[in-house]
Amino acid sequence: MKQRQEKRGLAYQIIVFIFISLFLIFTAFIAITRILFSHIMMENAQETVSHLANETTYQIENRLTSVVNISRTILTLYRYDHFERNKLDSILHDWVYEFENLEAITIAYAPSYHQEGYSRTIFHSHNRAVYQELHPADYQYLDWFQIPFELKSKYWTEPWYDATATQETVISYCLPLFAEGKCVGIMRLDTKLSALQKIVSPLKLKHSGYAFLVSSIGTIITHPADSLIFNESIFSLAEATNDNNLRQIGKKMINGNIDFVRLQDNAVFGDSWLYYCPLLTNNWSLGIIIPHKDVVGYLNLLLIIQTLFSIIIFLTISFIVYYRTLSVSRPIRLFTEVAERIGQGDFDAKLPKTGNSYEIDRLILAFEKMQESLKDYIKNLEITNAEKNRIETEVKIASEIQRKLIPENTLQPYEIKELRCYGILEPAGDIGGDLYDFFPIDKSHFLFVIADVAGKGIVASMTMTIVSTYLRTVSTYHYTASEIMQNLNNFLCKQTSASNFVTALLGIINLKTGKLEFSNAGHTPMIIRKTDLSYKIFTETHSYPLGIFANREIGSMTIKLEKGEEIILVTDGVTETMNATEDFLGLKGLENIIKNLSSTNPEQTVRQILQHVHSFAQNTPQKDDITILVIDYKKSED
Amino acid sequence: MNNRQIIYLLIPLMIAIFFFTSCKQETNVQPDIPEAEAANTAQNSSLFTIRYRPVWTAQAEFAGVYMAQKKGFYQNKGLNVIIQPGGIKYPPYENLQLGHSDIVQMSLITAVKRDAENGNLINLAQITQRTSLMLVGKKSRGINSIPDFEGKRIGLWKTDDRLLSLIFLQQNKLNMDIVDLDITINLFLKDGIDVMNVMRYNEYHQIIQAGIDPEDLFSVAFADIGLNVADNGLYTTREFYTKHPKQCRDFASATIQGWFYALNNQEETVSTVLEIMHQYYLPANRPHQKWMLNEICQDFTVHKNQEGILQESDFNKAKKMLTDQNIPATQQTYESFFPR
Repeated sequence: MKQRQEKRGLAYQIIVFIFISLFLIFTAFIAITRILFSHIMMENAQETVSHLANETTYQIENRLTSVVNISRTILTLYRYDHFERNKLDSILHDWVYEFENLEAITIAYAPSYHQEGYSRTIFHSHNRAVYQELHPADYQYLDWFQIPFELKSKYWTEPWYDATATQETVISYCLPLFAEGKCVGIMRLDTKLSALQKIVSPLKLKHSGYAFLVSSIGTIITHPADSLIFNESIFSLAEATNDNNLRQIGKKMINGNIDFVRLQDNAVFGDSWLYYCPLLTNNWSLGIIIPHKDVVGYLNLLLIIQTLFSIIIFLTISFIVYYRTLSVSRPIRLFTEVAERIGQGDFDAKLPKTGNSYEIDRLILAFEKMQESLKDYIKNLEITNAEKNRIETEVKIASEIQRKLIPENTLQPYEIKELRCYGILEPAGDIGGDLYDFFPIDKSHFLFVIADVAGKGIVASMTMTIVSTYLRTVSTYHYTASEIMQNLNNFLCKQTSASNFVTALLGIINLKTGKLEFSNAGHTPMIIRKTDLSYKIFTETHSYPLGIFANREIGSMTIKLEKGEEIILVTDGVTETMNATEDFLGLKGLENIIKNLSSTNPEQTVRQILQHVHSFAQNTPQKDDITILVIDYKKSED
Repeated sequence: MNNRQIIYLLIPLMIAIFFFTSCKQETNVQPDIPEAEAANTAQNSSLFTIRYRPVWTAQAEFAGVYMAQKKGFYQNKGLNVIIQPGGIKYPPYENLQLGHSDIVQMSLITAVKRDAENGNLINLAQITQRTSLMLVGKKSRGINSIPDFEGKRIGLWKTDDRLLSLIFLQQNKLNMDIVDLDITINLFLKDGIDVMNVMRYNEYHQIIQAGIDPEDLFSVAFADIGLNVADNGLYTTREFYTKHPKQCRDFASATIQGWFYALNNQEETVSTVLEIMHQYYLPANRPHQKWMLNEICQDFTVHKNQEGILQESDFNKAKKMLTDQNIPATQQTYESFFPR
């Protein structure tokens, strides 16, 4: 019942199978889609941001380059000796006023070179030209002067706040001035940082992407988060977030590299993609951040749609399969119910007429045939069974008759005082082929016989019955064991087939003299147990088994029985008893049993032998009839 | 003119007089200073005001003072401490002698050297017990050992802090082209100089934060090569100390208490320092101030249970360093320079 509960219906199994199949197919499909599309989207994103970055850097570079170009013109003017200082200052002011990209121009000299004054800054403020002079102590150690002066090369400064002149945060392009081969001062052109920030800051990508600038030493110049500007560098952010990967990226940025890299789980940038490229004019770097979720946003949407479609397809297919399977399986279910009824014995149960499908129709047809066959078979079985029961009953009766052929164990058989007899026959089946019998043939002679018909069953039993009946008859006319045996042999040869031969040991005891004449036709030897508990075994046989060769002389042997001696007779069911290891008891085994007997009468002897045989067999199933006959001779007092 | 007429004339006159009188009184009461400052002044009127000037702009180098101020350690001692701006424009010794500040912070070498002029400096507390000075050179510029310094360009501050570097060059018989520096590290970053003097708590970390890894630098820490000497201390003039000995000692002990608080509450202290720096629009980032505070705290606790005490050996060592260089040093004794 439990097993039946665990088994699922056909529809369920098909749906589960389809679900697993679809699940695997869609998973593979979604995974492949994801890999391919994410690759495509990454490439698209990189292409988009690189275009944007190029455009932005172009704008910034354009502005910075214009400052550089102005510087060249101013340098030419500066070197032109015809201009007086005031005239030059006026021209420079006009340049500052005219060029939007230019905030101020400064010409500053080293302390050792001050033939034209130390420094002057020219800028435009409140609708007038301003010419400001500074002492070397105020500027000679500032980056804008010292670095290009020491390097003797052009230099773009980091952003700095010009508190003394324009009151603006600027970046400055500084170039050394030479006189007679010596660097004597610096020309500085300032451009507003805010103008660059205005180019970069409004850049928005997708939903939350943005751009930022880092200076040549990694300082954040523009960023949507104002708190980072000038306070943090790309390296301080890496340190704060313990992100060595970001530090390595920062090094590449300030070294002028270009790349598109993933930043994973950084506290500042989150899970995002960074495109960076250099500003070649001043060695700054432009970074563009796109959150990873923006890059793969459409991909995720696509995957969600795919997943939803997969679910809808699965549900639709499941629905169709469920109802189709139900309609297909309805006859099967009916068919199953009928089969169950047939299984319970109702062979007349009606099968469904049609199964909605060719296969089920054939199945029903085949089952109909099987049903008819079963009905015929059961009918035959019933007949056979009745016949069997009848035979069994008859066999039981035969068995009963057979048992009655064996003489009853009494204290004094046939009231004969000289003998005590005790016999036992344990058939292997209901009816056996073993026989023992004893009876007086006249007042002074007593006949005993033990026989074993080859084979078992009814034939053996009938043969045994014949032998028993014939013996009783023939012994009336013949008084020697050899004659009786010879007669019996000829009779059996005529009446039975050779396959039903009989081994037998027949003896006649002269009750007066104790003389025993016995004849052994292929039977287990007779054993005489003496009063001193020794024994003698008579292994000689006087004939082949009876019923094989007709008209043969059968001999006999005569011995003298002493008072108290026991004649022990067994069939081969005793000597051929097998134990669990398939060893036979054998004649030696029987002799050992007899050696150790402590019995004082035939019954005890029989029971002790039987007990030892059973002990030897150790519950091994009995294969042959076991028959033991013991006769105790007491010489008549007369 | 009868009495009634006189009364009629007097009433408007009295109203006019009352009006003008009230107007005058209101003009007199109007404060000349902002209300908040007035309130602060009123609140602090019972406290003794001390003007403290740090040697540099606001940063974690002065965290003990900020925390003593914030946590009320000064106020508990009856002090109203005004933290004055620091920086290159406000040299501490000059400000102290000119009476613009009552207590200043400066290095021991500077104090011992400058005291040769007036002999009136008093060390109230020694904050950092060892020098954080280092020389660093870029390996990429061929600086891999001290002998590699020979013939290269070295950037040294214009201040007295360069003295240790000069002694180092002399001891190692190094002939270098010295470039005077002001405040930034950019000349070093742009390879305008090969070697530069830095404070481990400040410029050294700034270089790291400019993308140069420590492995790319060859460093010589003076504290490790026998040139160690105590650094930042709190100083006042003997005149001020004589007038206000209790307040001076209270300021010193409250400052040390502030340093212990900073030592034990570094995250909070860094946040406070960053707030102050942002108030002054100074560029600041947390990792750098955290690094600086950690370094200063280590320098503060070099001598266990001797925090704030100027060691006599340090005083004598500073004097000897100067005299060995034929630079005039203070004539004061240790006991006079650092009264207990």
